[in-house]
Amino acid sequence: MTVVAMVNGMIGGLILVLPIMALNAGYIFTLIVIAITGFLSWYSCFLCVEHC
Amino acid sequence: MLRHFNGNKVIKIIYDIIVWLSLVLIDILYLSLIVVQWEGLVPPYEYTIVNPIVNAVLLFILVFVLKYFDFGATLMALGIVSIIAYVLFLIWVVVTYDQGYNNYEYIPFGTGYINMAAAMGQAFSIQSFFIPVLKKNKNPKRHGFYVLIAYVFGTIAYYYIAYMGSVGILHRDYVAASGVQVTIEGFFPTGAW
Repeated sequence: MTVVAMVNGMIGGLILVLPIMALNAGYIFTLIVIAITGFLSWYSCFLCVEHC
Repeated sequence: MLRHFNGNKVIKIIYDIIVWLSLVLIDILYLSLIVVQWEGLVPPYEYTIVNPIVNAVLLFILVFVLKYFDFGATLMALGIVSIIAYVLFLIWVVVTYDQGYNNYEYIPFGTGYINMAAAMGQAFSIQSFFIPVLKKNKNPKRHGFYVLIAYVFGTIAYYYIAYMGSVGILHRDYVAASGVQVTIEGFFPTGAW
């Protein structure tokens, strides 16, 4: 339930825009951008958890 | 707590105010989105002053109820139903993708990657709410693991939506009345499917 709540909180209204953004960004850039932004965001959360 | 601020209470107060201000701005953004949604659902199908006032009052009451019953984190999990519905919708979009239009080209390196990076920075952000969700879990040793799993699932979901959605709209016609609207809804006008 904890993981599901976090995933649901993460995935919001952007999903309606994401297909068009991915189309404009290109499929290789999409792969890279999602990986990098996801990693950076996870790392900042990881630091928060470490300090809790 | 103060050790994170070099023992300085003033820095902590400034930090708290900045966090509070950021939450206020997010609240305004989300209330405006809710108001827009209701505009499309109830007569007279346009903005009226009653819309934001009624929504604000009802949401205020809802927040107190959720806080009283300590039900917020659990309710958030139930929202996964809408995501699953969207995932199923994208399957249908891909299955029926060839509508005969060739207005778009799917290229490996486009020009919209900066906009996408800015949006994804926000899309992955759970920093403002994930601590209360974790606190509901009684196994603190696994909190780091849960966050990692949440990001793995989130990343997979975003990849799925990005690629399935892109392919699905590639051969469809964009029918938005104005150029302002840039969501996938513009490809699926009411009454056409």
